[in-house]
Parts: sequence; C-alpha cells; structure tokens
Amino acid sequence: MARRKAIGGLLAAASALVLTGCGLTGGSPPSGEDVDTSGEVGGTITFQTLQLSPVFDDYINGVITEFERRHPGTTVEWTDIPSDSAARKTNADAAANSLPDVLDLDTGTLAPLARKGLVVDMDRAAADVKTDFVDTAWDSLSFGGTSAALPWYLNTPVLMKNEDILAEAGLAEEPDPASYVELVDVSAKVARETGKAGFQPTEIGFPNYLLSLGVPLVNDDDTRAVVNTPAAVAFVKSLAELQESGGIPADTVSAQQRSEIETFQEGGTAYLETGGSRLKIIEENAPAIYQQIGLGRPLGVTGKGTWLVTHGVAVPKASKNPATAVAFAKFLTSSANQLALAKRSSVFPSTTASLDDPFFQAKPADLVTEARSIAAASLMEGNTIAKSASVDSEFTAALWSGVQPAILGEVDPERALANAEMKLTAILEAR
Amino acid sequence: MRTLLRRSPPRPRSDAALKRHKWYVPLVFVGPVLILQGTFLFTPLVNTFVLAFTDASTVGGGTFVGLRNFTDLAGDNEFWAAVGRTFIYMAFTVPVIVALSTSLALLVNTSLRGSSVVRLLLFSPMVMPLATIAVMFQFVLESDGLINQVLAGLHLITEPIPFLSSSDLALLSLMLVTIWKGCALSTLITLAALQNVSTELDEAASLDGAGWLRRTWNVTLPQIRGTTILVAVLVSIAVLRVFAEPYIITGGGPGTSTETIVLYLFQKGVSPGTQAGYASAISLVLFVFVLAIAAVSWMLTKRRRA
Repeated sequence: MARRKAIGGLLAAASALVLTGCGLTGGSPPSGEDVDTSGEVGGTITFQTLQLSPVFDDYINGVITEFERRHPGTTVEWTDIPSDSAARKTNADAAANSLPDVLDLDTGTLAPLARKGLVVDMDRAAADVKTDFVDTAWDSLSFGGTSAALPWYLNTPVLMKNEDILAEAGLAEEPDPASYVELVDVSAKVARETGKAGFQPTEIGFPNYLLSLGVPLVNDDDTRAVVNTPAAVAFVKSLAELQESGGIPADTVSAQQRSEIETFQEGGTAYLETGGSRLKIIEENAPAIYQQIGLGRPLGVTGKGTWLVTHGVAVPKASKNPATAVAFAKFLTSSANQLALAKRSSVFPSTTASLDDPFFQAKPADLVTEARSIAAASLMEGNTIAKSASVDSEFTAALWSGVQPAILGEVDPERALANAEMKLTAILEAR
Repeated sequence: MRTLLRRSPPRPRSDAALKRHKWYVPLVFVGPVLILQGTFLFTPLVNTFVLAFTDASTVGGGTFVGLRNFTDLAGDNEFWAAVGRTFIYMAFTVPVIVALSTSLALLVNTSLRGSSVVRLLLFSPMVMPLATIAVMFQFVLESDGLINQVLAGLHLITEPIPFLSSSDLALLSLMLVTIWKGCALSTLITLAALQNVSTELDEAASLDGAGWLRRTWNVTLPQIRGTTILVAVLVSIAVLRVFAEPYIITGGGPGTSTETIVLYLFQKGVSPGTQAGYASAISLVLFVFVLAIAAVSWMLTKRRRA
C-alpha cells in the first residue's frame, strides 16, 4: 500500500513537473497595458547585445561605466549572444518570461514580441527623444501604432558596380540605373553584350524591390497582403525574362542567402546593392574585383526610397526595473554614444544629430568613405523607406517561395503573385 | 591428475532474499536515466502534445483551442502536398538505398583485392555531418557545378541541367543526396548481417552446381531478410523526417517543390513569431506516421517469426 502511495506520489510530482514545463500553470509574460517607466533610476539591469563582443567590448563597457557613473547605485550586467541564436534565445526567453531588461534586436526578431505586446511602447516611454531620430528608423520599429524599440544602429545600401563588366557591355558612360526597373533593363543589356548577369535578386531583397516600386506589401492595418499589383506582375515578368536571357544568375532561386556577394566578388554580376560594410569583405576576398568597383546611389532613392535595416533597443514589459532599463536604452541610443559607435564600425547612427557630424559629410577619399557619405545622404535626405514590421522573415520567405516558379517561367507571374498574396494573407490572419 | 571443480548448485531464492532490498532500491538505479529521459524526451513530448491543442506562438502565450489545429491541418493543402512529397521521397529513396546497400555489402563482403579501400570510401559519408554533405552537393549540383562541368566537358550537354533550379528536378536531386548519405550506414548494417551468414549452406549450394548469382539470391539474401527489413524501416523513418537536405540545399524551393513535412513544420513553428501550436499539431501527425511505419515493421517481423 505504501509503495503504491509512493509511486502515485512520484507520478503526480512528475505530472506536475511536466505540466509546469508546458506552461500550463501560468507564468505567461505580461502583455497589453503599458508599464510605468517613470520611476527612480537605480538597481541592477541586464543588457543583451547581438554579436558585438569582443570587437566592441571597450565601447560597450565604456557606455555602461558612464551610465553607472551618472546613476550611482546602478549596475548594468551585459551579455552578448551570437546573431544566429538571437531568434531562438529570444523566443525561449519570452516563453519563459525571462527576457533581459534591455535587448538589442533586429526587426524580424522584435516583431513577434511587439505583436504580442511584450515590450514597452517607446512612443510613450521615450516620447521626449522621439524627434531626435530619423523618421524612417523610428517608423521601421512601429508595430500597429506602438513603437517597440528605440532605433539604434542602421544600415542602408549603396550601389556597387563592376566597372570592367559595364565597360565590356558598353555602359561605362551611361548613368547608373535609378530604379529596379532600370536595373532590369541594364541587366538584359549586360547579359546580351557580355554573357554575364546584371544582378542577383535575393529573398531578403525582393520585398524591398516591390516596396521601392510602390507595391505596399501589406494594407494599412497589416491584416492583408498586397503584392499582386500590376507593377509587381510586370517586375516578376521582367525577372523571368532575365532568367531566360541570363540577365540574372541561373541559380538565383536556389541560391543561399548572401551568395549575391560571392557572385559579385567572383565577377559574375555587374551590380550589387548592399551595405558599405561589404566593401571590406570584397577587398579581402577578391582584391582584383575590388579595384574594379565603382559606387553609385542606391536604387529607389529618386523614387519611393531605398531600404533600411534597423536594430532596435527594446525593454520588455516584464522587466523588474523598467525605469532604469528605459533610461539606459535612451542613454545607449543618444546621439553622442551612437556617433562614437559609428566611428568605430561601418554602421550608421539613427539620430539626425549624429548623422550631421562631419564624419559622414567628409569628402570621399576612398570607396569606404564614399560609401559612407552616400548612405548617410540617403538617411539624412529622407530617401529611405520603412518596411512594415509585418514583413518579417516568415513573410519574406513565403513571398520569395511564391514568386520562384514565376521567375523560372513555370507559372504565370500574375497567378504566382495571386497565390502568394493569398498565402501571405493567411499568415497575417494567423498572427 | 584431473581435478574437477564443482560449484555447488545455486540456492533457490527465497521470498525473504528478494525482500531483503527495499522497494525503492531499483528506483535509485534507474532514477538518473528516468530523470534524463523525463527532462529531455518526455517533457518536450508532453509539451508538444499540449501545445498542439493551443494557439501558442513561439514567444509563448496561447490558449486552449481544442482540435482547431487539427481541423485546420486537415484542410491545409500545403501540408498535404508536403506529406505527398515526403512519401514520394520515401517511395523512391528507400528501395534504392536498400537495394544499393545490399549490393554494396555483398560486394564489400568478398575477399577481392582492394575491398578494404572500398570499405573506407563507402563508409566515409557516415562520419560527415549532413550539413557538410548538403553544402558539398550544392556545389556539385549547381548550374556551374561539378556535374554540369563534367557533362559539358564531355560535350553531352550544351546547356547546364538545372538540378536545383527546376521544380521537376530539385526533389530528385535531393533524393540522390539522401541516397548517397544513407547508403553508408545501411551497408554497414547489412555487412554485419552478412558476416553471420552460414557458409555451409553456401558451400552446399555451390556443390549442387549453383552459380554466385543463384547462391546469393536463393541462399544468402533469405538469411539476411530480417536485417533488410530493419534497414528498410530505419531508412523509412529517417526519410520521413528528412530536413537538412531541403533546408540547406534548396530551402524548400523552387516554390514549394522540395518542401517536406519537417521543413513545413519548421517554417510554421520555429521561425520567430510563428505558430508553435500549429507546428506541434504537425509534429504529432508526423509522430503518427512514424508509429505506423514502426507498426508495419513489427507486423512483418512477427509474420516472419510465425
């Protein structure tokens, strides 16, 4: 009898353990109503960054030391995680209600936290500094009327050109393409004259192409996908023609992410639209190609705008010290601190004051400084465009998957986009 | 002088001897394993089971939704397309792997010169991580990859074959990768079985005038039938869960032409903010498929024993 009771007790304990693990016994993270962030600054907070250590150890430790000096009795415990594991760790932390007090996140990883209302609304908590930031940077972190994070570092592209291929194609004296439609036209000519591709479309880039062409991607309240427009159909049709003529690489649809950089540095494409930081990689990997590179303004700056990648600093509502967390987030993203970071790296600050610094206005002395001034000009002149936060990695992957058969000429572009729109709307509705 | 050491016959255990140990002593022995299994196997399993009946996201939350995920799944054309694709994958790769690995094992089992080198080459895929194999095959199969370059060099093709960029060929290309990788372990298992095949029967058949092919077909293979079934079941279960090949080589594309069940599950419930509840329902259905295959294997084994 005693044995049965003991075994029964053990089973009950095991069941309780299992059910606790399942999250059925409460402990779900707080969402909905905003939290009070106006309290006194003090105590200990945790701060998590994405792959900034060890390169930026001195910088981050310096910012933390200065913050702790200005706010005696405050301790900031910094952890740095690899970018690859950011989504997985953030998901697990959110599910376990153990997110750090201050988080450095890309928009894709931040999006689900924002949709679930798990992060502090910066429109309220940091209303006093909102005007310091570049509008599109702020907008790119807005999710359904709330701002999920303070913009931190940014990236926006430049157009890299392989001058030798363009000369071979007889395009050396021609003006740079100013839009993706013009890029398609030029690519067809490059393929005709040289047998090489003009550019390599990518999964991550595809929503940016459409956005720049005026395709909204989603409706105003992010409840429905809008990708099947005449402009989108015409663009996909032109990509299919390029696939046929060799204007884009034959393996475009099956290419790995970031392989467009490899293709460009192997001399396989004439154009590459990417962040200026890639110049260093190309210089190291392909010095001969680096010598052939010329730079131009990114596509779309004269139209709807060019793309923008934003890293935000978020504060979870579950933070036990939200006042200090928000204060630290503001301090970290202040103009002075952002400028100091930008000067040590190839990223761009998100505040207008820091972008106004002579560092970004300097006369180009080499490709790196030229790229910096071109990208800074895009940010300062308001030529960047904020993608809706709904257009995250899941949306992007589904859209690219939907248009692949059309690019290969296996499916009519309009049908492919109609199917993609239906599938994307289903994804949005399920959120 | 011959000495016989005779052990005294074991004394029959009395109930008293059995009761000498406390009832919890066995638990102490199996406890550590139970804790490990409970933590890393059963808890996630039960968690998945519970999540399948909620609308939880990957960032947590979720409320009980009953059978909604399963009814949605029943009407999810993309899921059933992925199921169909996975079963086609299985229908093609399993017989090929079984036939190929059996043939290779028979060849390697001979005492021909150089067979040890062949064994080494044959088993090398087994020690390579699947991710490495997938990346390697991507270089082999792309438009300007090794195969197309060889075929073009031999003037057999004028245009590269779109192994990975055609919806018709991509799945077949992935199957070849799975076959290449899967043959190593299957051959090893079959080879181990062949080592136990009775040589007397083979010699008797030989004396009766049977040639190598006839001896192999009628004498050797029937003796390793159990192992062959085991290999088929193991490969079937592995193929049912195929993920690395489509994920790394094609990403499920072009379109959804190489989207398998596990890849679909991954897309639905592992990326940030996706539907963990729905993905858990998919994994439960996959679990049922695996159970069904295990049941078929059990029935085949049972029938053979009978």
